[in-house]
Amino acid sequence: MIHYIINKVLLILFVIIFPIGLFGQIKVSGIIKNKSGETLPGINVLLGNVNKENILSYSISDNNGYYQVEYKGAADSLQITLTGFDYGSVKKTIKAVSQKLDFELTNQPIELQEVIVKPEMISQRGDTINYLVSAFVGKGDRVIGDVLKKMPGIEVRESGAISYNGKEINKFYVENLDLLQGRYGIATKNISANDVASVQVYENHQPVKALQDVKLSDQAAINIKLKDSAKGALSAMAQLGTGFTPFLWNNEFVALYFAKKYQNITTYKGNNTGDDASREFTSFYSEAGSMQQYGNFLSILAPSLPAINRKRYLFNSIHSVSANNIWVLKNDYNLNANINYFNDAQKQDSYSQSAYFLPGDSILIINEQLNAKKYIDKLNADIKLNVNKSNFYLDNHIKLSGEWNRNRGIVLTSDSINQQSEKNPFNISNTFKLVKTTSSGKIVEVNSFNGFSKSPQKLIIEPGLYPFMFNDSKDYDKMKQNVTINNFTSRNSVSYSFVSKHIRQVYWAGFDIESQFLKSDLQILNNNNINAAPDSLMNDLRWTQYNMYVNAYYSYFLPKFKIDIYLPVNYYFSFINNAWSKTNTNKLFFTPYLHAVYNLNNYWDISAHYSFSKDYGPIDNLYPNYIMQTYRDLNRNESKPLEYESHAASLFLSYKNPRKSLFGNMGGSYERFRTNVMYAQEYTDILQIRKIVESPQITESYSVSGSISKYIYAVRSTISLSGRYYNVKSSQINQGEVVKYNNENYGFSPNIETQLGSWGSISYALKWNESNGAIGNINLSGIRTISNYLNISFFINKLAINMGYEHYYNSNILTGKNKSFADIELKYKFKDVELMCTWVNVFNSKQYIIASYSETREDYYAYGIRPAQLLLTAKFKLW
Amino acid sequence: MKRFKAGIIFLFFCITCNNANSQSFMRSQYFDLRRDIEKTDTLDSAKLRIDYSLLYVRDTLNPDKISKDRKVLLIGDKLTDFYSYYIRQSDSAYTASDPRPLKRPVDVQGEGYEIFNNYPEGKRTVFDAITDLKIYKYKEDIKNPQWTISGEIAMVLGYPCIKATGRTGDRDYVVWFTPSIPVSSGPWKLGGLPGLILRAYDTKRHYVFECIGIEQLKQKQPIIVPAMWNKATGASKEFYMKDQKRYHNDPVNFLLSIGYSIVLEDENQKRVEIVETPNKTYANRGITLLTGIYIKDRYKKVPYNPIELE
Repeated sequence: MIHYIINKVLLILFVIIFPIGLFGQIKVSGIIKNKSGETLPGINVLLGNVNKENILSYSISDNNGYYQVEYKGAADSLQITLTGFDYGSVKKTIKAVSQKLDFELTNQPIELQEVIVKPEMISQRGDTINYLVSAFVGKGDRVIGDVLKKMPGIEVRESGAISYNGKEINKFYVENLDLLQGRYGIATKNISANDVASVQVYENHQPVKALQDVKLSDQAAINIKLKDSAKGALSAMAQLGTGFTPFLWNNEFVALYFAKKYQNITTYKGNNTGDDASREFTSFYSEAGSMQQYGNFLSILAPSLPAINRKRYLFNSIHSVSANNIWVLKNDYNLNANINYFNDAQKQDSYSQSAYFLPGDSILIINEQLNAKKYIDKLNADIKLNVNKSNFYLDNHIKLSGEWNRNRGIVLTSDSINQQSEKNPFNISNTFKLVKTTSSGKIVEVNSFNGFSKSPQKLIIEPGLYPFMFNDSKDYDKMKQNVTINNFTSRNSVSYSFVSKHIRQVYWAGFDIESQFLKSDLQILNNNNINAAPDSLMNDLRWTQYNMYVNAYYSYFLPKFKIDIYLPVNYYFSFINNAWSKTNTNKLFFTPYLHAVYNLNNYWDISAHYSFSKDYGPIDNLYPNYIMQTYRDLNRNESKPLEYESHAASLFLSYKNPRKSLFGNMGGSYERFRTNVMYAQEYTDILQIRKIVESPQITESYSVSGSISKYIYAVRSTISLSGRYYNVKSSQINQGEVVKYNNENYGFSPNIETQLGSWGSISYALKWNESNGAIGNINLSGIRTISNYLNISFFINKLAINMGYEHYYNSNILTGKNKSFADIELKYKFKDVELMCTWVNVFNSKQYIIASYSETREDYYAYGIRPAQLLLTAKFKLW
Repeated sequence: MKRFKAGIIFLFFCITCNNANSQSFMRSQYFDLRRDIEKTDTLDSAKLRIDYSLLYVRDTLNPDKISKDRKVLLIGDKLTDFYSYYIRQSDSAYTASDPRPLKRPVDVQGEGYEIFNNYPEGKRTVFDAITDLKIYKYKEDIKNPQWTISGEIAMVLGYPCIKATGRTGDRDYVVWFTPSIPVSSGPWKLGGLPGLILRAYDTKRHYVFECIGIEQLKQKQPIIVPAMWNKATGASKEFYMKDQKRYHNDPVNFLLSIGYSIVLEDENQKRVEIVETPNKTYANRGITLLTGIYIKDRYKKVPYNPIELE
């Protein structure tokens, strides 16, 4: 024992007194291999004292698996530790002598304690705001449209239109190509959320690169950035669905291809389950190349649509096909070819009661039971060639659209009336735009739009009505109204602009022609004889308008402030020719426009705008002889063209803080609208005659609205709140008397989308609306409507359960103010197949009743709605 | 040549001076040839992704102004890739078909370099852009510092780390590595220790790296390099270091020498003078590279404090 202590003491003294160099240096080296004999590089070899976690020496094996550790010291045994990322750790006690020591390691992956960086869900780089899709996507989200609505600052309206911080977007790109030309519902409803890496918002987006410094835009664009895995490969999805009652079907086929030089989306969707597949074909671009449409001049009487989810009351049978292509050609040219077609047969059943407030406190009440069938075929085709460079822009866009509408209906009032209409509007147009920047920085811009539309339509009513007016008070078989309206429009302008110091100057000259032609006759048919229409039931009208203008546009800009002033001077002349008279008008007028933007800082923007505009009324307010638009709507006009003048002003404030996921905006606007004539309504029994009387009418409206949205990371929720107030004051002639009316409308709608971890999600939306009105001295009872939408989803492994609940409240209904709908959906995912079982309208409600106001009337409607239905669907991923 | 033009990007870039409240030193609008990164080569696949935050001082005369970057270290079986998260993000944000100017200054400053360790085997390849016009590429031997391991231990992100000190690139470094993650990598060019470096800083604290994320990639992520960069022959490290110094000492002449024409502007962004580049390489291809500089900054230097001083 003593011997041992002395030994120890000596050893300690030895260590203290003698420099370490006196000890021999030992080297341990060797080769590290795995079980199959391959040498392993990158293995850490640590030399330490036995049972201590210290490091005396270390080595990292080289590409040949060789290591060498050295040690100088007194220990007689050491611990050698090997660690490797895929080989775990091996410990061995060795004698402290130089030696060769090879190792054979077994594969044993390490499981690290992970620290995941909270993803930057929203980030801003310059004018681009990136929303990381993976941060917002939930387990139940299928397409990118489901995710877009959870992104704060981005709002998807019910129509499918997308706005960013209160303003509608001006472009929608997929991988920076404008594949869909505004029909971006095709993208948001078909591109899988899992294929998208990020959604990018380009703020203040001027789509024409050559105008980027000349015309600043305050609208944003959205770009869908795909994951690499979704690029360059065809993906296709098919869905088959069937159910009852009645026999239901819901089938889809979607193929998507996105590559650098070519993109394609092809879809087929067909169903009779109330999904209006044609809504995907709505274009949301507000383009200069548009013209007056008169497709719905005549119509069979059908009630206005109720404010509930459309799929509840839509009895349809639709087939829709869409093919969208874009090619990137040589020299940055893009070529678009888009074709959309659908065929639908819709049924509507309703009962309505309308009350018209007439002067002298009298009220006219009309009761109708309506059954209508609509057969619609619609085709849209677009071909567009575009090149967009920083000094050169060329765009030529040919649009074609045709519609074939056949509607049939029965009205049961005191009599039974058969209605039948046929409408075949056709439209073709070409839009051309050229922007060229010269070497000295001047910009030349040429715009040209040429379009032609033809809208033939007829309305047949059986039996013949109003015999006291049309057939010497004798009953007759039928009345047939024919109308054709043709429109040729051409708008052309040239501009030249240059920049100096803080001012951009643009000078424009333009020339517009609009030539319209309206022909109509109302035929009285009896015993297969056609009575020649008297002159009072015929129109033959040609209206040609010319507008020549010069416009000076100045833009004054500082880094944070910008103001645009447009000063167009117009010379307008119009010729109206009809069989009986000729009218010429010419006018010189000035329509200024002013727009100012101030960037307070990175967060706040303020913009203000004022404009004065003047326009001349559509030809459908110009015909001098009677036209029957619906069976109880017989109109004629006694006036020169309707002249509109409008002063509008607005103020808009927007806030964004991407880092805090907080977006908000507030705006107010005022408009004073003046027309040179007023509508006069006269009633003879059920027949309404609307005349236009030459007496000015002023309509004043103002509105305030705002919204705020935020993503709260702690509760994985997107919360948004919006509110609005709208007030309109105007006047109208009723039975020869001027009646003032006032309408007030306000409401708010909060919305929350929450992800409850990986097992569930909840979304809830409320829409609260109040409307009050007064006509003359009569105060209309206020109407309050409330809609609640609740959706809860649970995910259990491969099974998803969705429960949807909708509740509608309308204060103006005497009994049954509340209406509820519920749906349940089960989804089971199995590899590339998704099976779904949907039970729609669990409560089996069959009727929906609403009450509403329009200007001088109050309406009650009862609609037939879709009963309880069970639908089985299978979705397959084909590629 | 057409292909070349198609890849051009128009960028508005801000190189801000570090003096507090100072005006932008340089506003440049130029074509970015660096970002033709649509075609990439895959070098390896990553099994680990490490995220670091970097706080650094760009101007030694103004050491209180701290710039921020976020770095990513991808660790594959064969090699590692170290890059700026923000720069990669903006690369993917601006693809060739929609070149859009950055109009607002950014408060994060990404460093442009990208380091591939053990590529080619046994060596290291570095890419960097001094201006966005020219991408520099050089290869060097991996020379790890002589690390001195002390017994100090600290926890970083829940991992016990051992302190080590060493000198490289004319700076003394303190690093903290964890043997629990047995890969001998770290931020920037630091490595060669028996464990991953989770924290590293030089003794002047001009460059401070701190690990903020550790992720074991279940789906292996490819380690990619733009094909155009990969096939470039590159130059020597000395050439790159020399150009970097030239740029910081005399930016205007440097930019002129590599093919930019300079627009001298007054504070209201009004053109005062255009200095034409004597190097017409790009003009011959029909491309004009223009950069705007405030006239008061005509002879001003760009602060010079790179992480690697020699």
